[in-house]
Amino acid sequence: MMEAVLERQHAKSHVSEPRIDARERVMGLAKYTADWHVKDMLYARIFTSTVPHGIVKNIDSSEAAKTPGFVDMVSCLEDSTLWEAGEREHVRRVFADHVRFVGDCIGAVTATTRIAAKKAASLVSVQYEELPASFNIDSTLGNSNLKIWDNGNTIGPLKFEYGDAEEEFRNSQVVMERHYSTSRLHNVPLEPAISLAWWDGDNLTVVAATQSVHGCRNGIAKDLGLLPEKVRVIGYYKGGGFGNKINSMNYDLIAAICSRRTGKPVMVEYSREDEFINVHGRWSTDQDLRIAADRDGRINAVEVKANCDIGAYTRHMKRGHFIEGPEHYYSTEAWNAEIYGVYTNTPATGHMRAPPGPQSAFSVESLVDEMAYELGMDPVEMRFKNYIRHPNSGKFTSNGFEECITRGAEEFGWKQRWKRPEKQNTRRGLVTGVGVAIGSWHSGLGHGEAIVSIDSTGVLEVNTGVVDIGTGAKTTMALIASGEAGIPFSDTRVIWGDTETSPFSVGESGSRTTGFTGTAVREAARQIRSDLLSIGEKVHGISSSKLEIKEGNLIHSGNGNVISSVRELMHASGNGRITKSVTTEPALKEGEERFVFAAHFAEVAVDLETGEVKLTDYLAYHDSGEIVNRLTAESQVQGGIVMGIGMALTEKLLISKTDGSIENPSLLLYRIPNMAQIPKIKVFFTDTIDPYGPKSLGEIPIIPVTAAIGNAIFNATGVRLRNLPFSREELLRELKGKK
Amino acid sequence: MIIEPFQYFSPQSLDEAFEILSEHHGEAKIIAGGQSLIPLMKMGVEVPCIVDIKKIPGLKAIELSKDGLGNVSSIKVGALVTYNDIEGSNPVKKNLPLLAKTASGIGHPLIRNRGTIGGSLSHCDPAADLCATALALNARICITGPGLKTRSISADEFFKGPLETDLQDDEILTAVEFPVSAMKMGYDVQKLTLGHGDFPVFIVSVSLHNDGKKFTDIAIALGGVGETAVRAGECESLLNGRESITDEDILEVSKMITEKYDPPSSAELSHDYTLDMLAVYTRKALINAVQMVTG
Amino acid sequence: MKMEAQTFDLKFKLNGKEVNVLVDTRETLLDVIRDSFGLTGAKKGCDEAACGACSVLFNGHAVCSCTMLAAEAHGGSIVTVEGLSSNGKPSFLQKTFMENDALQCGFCTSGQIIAAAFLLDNAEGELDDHEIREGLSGNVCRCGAYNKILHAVSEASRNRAVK
Repeated sequence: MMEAVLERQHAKSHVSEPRIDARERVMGLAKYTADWHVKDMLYARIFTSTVPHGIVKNIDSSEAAKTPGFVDMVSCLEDSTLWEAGEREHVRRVFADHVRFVGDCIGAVTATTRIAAKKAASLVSVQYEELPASFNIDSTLGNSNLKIWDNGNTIGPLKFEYGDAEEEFRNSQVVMERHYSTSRLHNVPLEPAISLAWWDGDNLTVVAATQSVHGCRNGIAKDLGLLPEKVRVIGYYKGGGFGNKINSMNYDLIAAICSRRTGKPVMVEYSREDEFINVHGRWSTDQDLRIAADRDGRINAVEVKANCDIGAYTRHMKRGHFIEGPEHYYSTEAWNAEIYGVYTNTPATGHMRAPPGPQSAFSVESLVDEMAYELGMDPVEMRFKNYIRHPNSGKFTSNGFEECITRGAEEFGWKQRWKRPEKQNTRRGLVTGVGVAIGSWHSGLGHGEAIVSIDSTGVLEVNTGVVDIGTGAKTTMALIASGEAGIPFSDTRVIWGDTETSPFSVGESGSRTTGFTGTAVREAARQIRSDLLSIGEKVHGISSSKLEIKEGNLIHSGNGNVISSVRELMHASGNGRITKSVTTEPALKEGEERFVFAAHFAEVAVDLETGEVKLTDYLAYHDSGEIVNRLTAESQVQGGIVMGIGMALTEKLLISKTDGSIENPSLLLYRIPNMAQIPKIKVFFTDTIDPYGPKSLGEIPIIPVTAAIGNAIFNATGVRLRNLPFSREELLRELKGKK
Repeated sequence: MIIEPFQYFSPQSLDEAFEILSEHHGEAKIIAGGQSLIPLMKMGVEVPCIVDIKKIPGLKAIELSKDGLGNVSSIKVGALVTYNDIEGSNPVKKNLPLLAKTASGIGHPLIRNRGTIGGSLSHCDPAADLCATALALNARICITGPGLKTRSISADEFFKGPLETDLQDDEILTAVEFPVSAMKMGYDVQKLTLGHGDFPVFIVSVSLHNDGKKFTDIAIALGGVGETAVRAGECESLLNGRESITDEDILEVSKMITEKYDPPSSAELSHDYTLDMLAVYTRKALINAVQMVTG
Repeated sequence: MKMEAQTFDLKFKLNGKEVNVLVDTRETLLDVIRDSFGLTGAKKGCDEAACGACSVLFNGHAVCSCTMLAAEAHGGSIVTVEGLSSNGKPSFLQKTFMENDALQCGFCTSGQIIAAAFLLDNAEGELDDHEIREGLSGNVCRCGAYNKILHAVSEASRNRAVK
């Protein structure tokens, strides 16, 4: 099977198709979880801890029960269901009896209306035995009485090293040492957390806002002690997730628990505030970096020591990998990283678009930039000199990094636009500057399943377990099948998002859909084409080696003549539907590494009087291998950049110094970018062909953004900002200090 | 989500509105655009009775008064006129460009389509855009009470404190009247916000006239620096009557403003920075306003 | 309980049809059009007029239906995204959104289209990029489709200007 994948034609794709479900989405017809309304549905609302750390001693629901419409209350006192996916290192319960942050979920109230549910939940009174608590890294590390978790309050160190870093630092001509920090962030999918569940005997159905219906099903089944086949998860339309709707969520379990108790379908809806507090966001980092280089610009070694505030629970599934990525940006003699995750009594953290990616890129790509200026080098030249050609051992399956850097610089006009920072003589008005940053990210391969069929009318049907949270996965799967089978996209249909009807998919996380599920789709579609060619041989007496299927027609490859349409061919053959159910397990060969690469270029304008930064131009050049659909791929890149712009300029969860609660759980106070703040973002892709097919795309676009912007601010003003988000106040203070 | 039940009334006339207000004395709240009231109710502020005045005729007009020579002498903006209506009104744009500019900078279009001038002024947030500009433009607040008794007072007298006005429980703000001058006019409005479309941390609204010889009617109104929006009277006096206003004069006034007024700090911006910005934005506003009449 | 729930007999025009429903005075217009009429194109993204996903046209003006009491719509005319298409066919503006890929997850899309429709209806001539950016600044898109939304609205504006 692998041969089949490897030998396929690698013609550069210029496909650019609107989403297969665009019509439903623009007409308000796409049914998201909140749009479901089932008979006799009840509403559940969570109630949560008001103390940062403690043991729940008593819960009084007598007032809540008097609320008209009250149906049921469930809490940690009677339900000890575990939420396994809720914490990487320890045991976490759906309803916490040991609460670890202000907002930790203790129980839920079910009522006939959402107003009644909210009212009743607000009337539940909880008594606690309070415990010592910590709200930041320093206080966790410095408090021996603190027991957020019994077996220690930190994870780590995670060490990653190669070469002899100390030797390189001793022998290199220039060494720099800097501190960087990044803030706690939130994914802010526009659709807040929601789940709807009902039981039919022992069978559970959940309409989930998940990024993976199968992952969600498996998690729910495990936590509720059910066989997976007893759980059906439906998820047709999702309002984004960016990592915080991964697998089974506690609100899915809460819906199922409340429904089982009341015997009615139950919808759990989170308010925007609940979403900010009860669904994880990105961890913050405190990073100390050292870099060693020679005067000619060669980077010899990088050292990263970091503590990361991971909140009370970490949902990050890769143990300890809280800083990761830049070791694959450059070829250096040595790399030395030592990373700790530090628990605090603050809300949970976990996956958010390229979980450790942008935090790690920010520090390293800022520091490399600092070194370039220190050495008097053009920052693009510095990257060009050092970018990774080959991994430490083995080889990349493909590497378009050079094209990203050089062609990106050309398209941006870097040579004409980059100037060495000059001393600012003016105190007012706008100054502009440009910055560059690069990045890479893994591009995995793995288990994929697909069912592709063609019916007697020539319609191609692609059935996969994708959910399409906005990535365009449905469209991508359909395009892969259509291209491989030779059937027009307009005659291609998709089935998706339901564990009862669709085969397993990893879902949309880790930039995996195209590489994992897409590989199975391609193989199934190839088998369909091969069957059609055999039928052609049988029906028309022409050797199948002389036949092709193109645009829904059987074609004589010798003279290019259309022999018949696929529909006629299917009719003539007397066959009904042909179905191919395929499982693929592509794997890299020994020593192979598969990565995607990018170079980003930003221009900013800084108001010297206020310190305000406005992004005025942006360009991204990406190697993600063959691009299946240029239109939606460009959208994903722009989207990641927009999120990166928020991280650079406006986004920050404010954590209370007195109780660790989130002080800005509102879209009025947690500022995601709006249209007025976003410049034109130009997107280019390299022509790189990877032998294993299209590479990953969804996560890498956010990775270089903050450093590209910070580097541009430095270029404009001579001020280096090392804390995210960039503060106009800090910038102004530094500007004044320079005079 | 609003949790506490409330009665909702939609009177068809002022008389009917006053009846309801007197029946629910002290418990009723008037709703105009609701862009402040509804969020407050969602936050848990209990309001037992809502009186929606949007069905009352006559509160949505923009009326022009003219002097003997046919020049516009004042414009009366009905309480229910939205920010968007103000922004789009040709007479307002022509005669009260500062008001139009201020309205066009409030929040975002979805808010501007709903928020009203009457609602904003009677809500009386110290940093609200229109409160400062109402002061800068010497607006008079037109109020009707039971028995259709009317009175009008200056914006300055109307603003009493944070979310507190001279409006009595049984009164309704019906219109805001702005005097219009035929003299050459300069103006600007500048504000510090934490994000695009955000509510101001503070706002500086400036208006001035020039008769060809000297600057008169200097108005510098500040929002967000105290209990209510205020006029920086002493700073105005410093510039009033001058034949020319130099950059140095403006710098001096900006500095003086920061000595007399104190904007708040926030979790995101320190007091020092905010105070610095008060000087910067005051300077920007004054420079732009002066340039309009001299440039 | 201090006060029982109060009801209001609401009549208004919804996508061109006169409708009538008894609502709880606490209900927002958004809840009523979604729950009572099943028009679920408008979404609840924040419930505080900070995201624009709930945008509808009220008497021709784009507003946040989450920050409007349902009762306030009495006697008025509401158009939701479902009311912009006719006979199952997307409007020209909706088509430009489709063709330009001016959406990703689609959750904000109804609101974007409603706000854009208002902007186009009130534009004097062709909209420039700045006007579109400001005009849609109340409608956030976390997927970051802003560049494409700008193209879509710009194309729709050009098309109108030509006509």
